[in-house]
Amino acid sequence: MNLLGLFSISDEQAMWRVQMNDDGDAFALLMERWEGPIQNLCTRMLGDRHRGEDLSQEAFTRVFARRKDYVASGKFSTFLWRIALNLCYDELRKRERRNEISLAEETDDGNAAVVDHSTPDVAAAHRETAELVRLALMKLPELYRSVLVLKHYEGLKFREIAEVLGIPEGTVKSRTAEALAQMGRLLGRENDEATGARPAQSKKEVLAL
Amino acid sequence: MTHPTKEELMTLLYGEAEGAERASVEQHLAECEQCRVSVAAFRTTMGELSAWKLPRRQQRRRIPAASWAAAAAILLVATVGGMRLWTLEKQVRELRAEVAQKAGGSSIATLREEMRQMAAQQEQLRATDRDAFAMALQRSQATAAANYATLRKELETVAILTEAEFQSTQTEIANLASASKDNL
Repeated sequence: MNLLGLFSISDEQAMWRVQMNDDGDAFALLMERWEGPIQNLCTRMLGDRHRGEDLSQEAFTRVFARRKDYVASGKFSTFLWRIALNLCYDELRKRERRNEISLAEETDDGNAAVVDHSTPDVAAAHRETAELVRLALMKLPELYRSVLVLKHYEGLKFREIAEVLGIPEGTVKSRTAEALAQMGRLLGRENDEATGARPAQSKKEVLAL
Repeated sequence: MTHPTKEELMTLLYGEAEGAERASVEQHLAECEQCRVSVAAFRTTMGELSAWKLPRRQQRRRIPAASWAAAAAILLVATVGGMRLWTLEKQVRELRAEVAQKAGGSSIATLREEMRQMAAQQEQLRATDRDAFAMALQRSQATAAANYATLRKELETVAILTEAEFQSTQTEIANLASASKDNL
């Protein structure tokens, strides 16, 4: 089987080949397509780029190990998102047990935002906002964080998120609204009554943990 | 006036509202200041969230099946090797010209002979490299699916060995250059 010949097949067809024949090329194709999004998901769930990359590797390992569990009628991506998210939850549990603070200041090699603004000042301000967003997201309860990451950053449809999380679509939408409202507060902005106003926190408080 | 639910606002804000639903929510927003404020707040937060961008993922080729990557690596090594040889040959040509200009006497014949030998040596060297690359390429096509990692290691070794050979040739040229100056 030539790798080039695989490029037109769907995720589901590729996964089926992995399931039936342990097809390495097909699995490589799935990784090629999905490694980026899964890395980003894990990075945003954990607030840590390096750990996110590790977990993404682990997710693919698990997909391969559990290839027989994949039900051919379902979407491959749903199966994959779910496995990756569960790994993130496990990791966050472990952190909680270790009472580890995951909000360590980031070094420039990892989570630093990608910016290409013309002036250093604008770029610095942008990086600062990005860092505040990362910290705020880590303070957001996982329940809301996962919905927001899948929706806002990964661009899944509400219906797809409902499938991944096994909850009704309406719940996904209301959680997204709540997640945005909480993020607005965590980011220290005055919010209107419609999103459930609370006294706005200063940006310093977010950093203070 | 019934305000749209937060769920409906989300559907609109994330571009999933269609047809009648979208029209009715938009209609409402046009008339309702309170909901417009609410939507604006959501939009601001969404904009802030988007400030956290992640770098494009690095290409980590851990999958042995990526045989094209192995081929590309070989091509790269071969190109770099070829370019270095070309540079080397150019140096030899320049040296030859210089020597011809300065010498012009009896020693020029011996120098020419040495130069010819050098050129032959280099030709041989290049042939060896070519063979090595061809072999590596063949091997990679056959085994890439199974052990890309091993192959890459081999390639690196080939590159290092080639590098070493280039360096020794260069040293020879340097020696030759100083020798020719002494002769003058």
